[in-house]
Amino acid sequence: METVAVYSESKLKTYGFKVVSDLSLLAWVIGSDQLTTYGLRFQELGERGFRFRMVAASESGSSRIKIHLIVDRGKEAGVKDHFRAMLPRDLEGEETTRSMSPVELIFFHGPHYGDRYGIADIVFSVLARESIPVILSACSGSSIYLVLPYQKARHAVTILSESIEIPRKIRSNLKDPREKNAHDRP
Amino acid sequence: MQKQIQKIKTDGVKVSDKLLRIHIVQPIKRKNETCYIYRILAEEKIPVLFLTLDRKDGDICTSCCVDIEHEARVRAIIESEAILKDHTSFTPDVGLLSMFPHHSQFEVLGVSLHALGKANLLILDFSSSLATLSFVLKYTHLKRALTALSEFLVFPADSAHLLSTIRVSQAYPLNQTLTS
Repeated sequence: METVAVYSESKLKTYGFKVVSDLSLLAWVIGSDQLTTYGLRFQELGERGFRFRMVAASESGSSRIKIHLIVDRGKEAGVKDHFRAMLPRDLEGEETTRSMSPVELIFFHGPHYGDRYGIADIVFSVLARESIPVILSACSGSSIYLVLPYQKARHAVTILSESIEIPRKIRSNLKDPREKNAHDRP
Repeated sequence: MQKQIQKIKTDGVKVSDKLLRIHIVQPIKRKNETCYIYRILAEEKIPVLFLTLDRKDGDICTSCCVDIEHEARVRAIIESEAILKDHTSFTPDVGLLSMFPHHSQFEVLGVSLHALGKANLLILDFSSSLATLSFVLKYTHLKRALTALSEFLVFPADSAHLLSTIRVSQAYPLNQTLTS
């Protein structure tokens, strides 16, 4: 059975923007042979009560993978300490860890984003036009996540809202995305 | 004594059709150049099914997946774009394995990386979204990945869809004034 949905929106729709501030970005470049070890360390973090806000990774050549992790800023030291004891061997001089703090996160989703063309272009074009650098982004399924420099998220939501509409019915049910703790954990 | 494995329950896992992975690492020269690939894909009306992007030290690094049916066209276009062709690599026949929910829990992330690493499966990309944890793997590795993950995670019996059941036809470009 095939389901066909046809969109003829004059403006892209979203179910709402969520903003989270006071976050830290941590990154590791690891060998693919270290994946099991890092997996265990992440499990231990979970057992100690840590949670993540976002994770994204890409293979960076020569059997290495670069993992980016976004956590609450208050948890940064705890996560770093957990990994410090097992920092990987120097991978041919390449930087193996880095962190950036504070950063901010915007995330939003909309109907069938992953099945429709042009959405990434709209988002990145709008931010580039306003010279807002995207530090990290991940889009999968119907969700878009954007990590931005500190104090850029509010302006980004304003300009994204000019191109991406929140239907009035949904908007009335939303908290102010700039409100503290507006992030809804699934 | 060996720690007893308690499997983590999930609500499901989904596997994509064959995809083409496009990986670009290029210096940032002009502010609007950074995501030129996404402008091209929009103009060609090609949906982006998965995307990661990061920037570091003046370079932008992005990976995205599109349906494999677009491979010849995408390769030809990128070959013709001087600012992209020397910075782009392609991995044909990849697939997306998405499982949900992750509940922002390191346990789910950790066991997934552990399981895939233990099975010697090359992870090309992965990311979290609101509820889902998605991995880009070689298409031929997807079944092995499901088996490896099943050692640590419980999937509902009928949750692995090997073929997409929903196709979306987009009749018009989005926000036409922006992209024209």
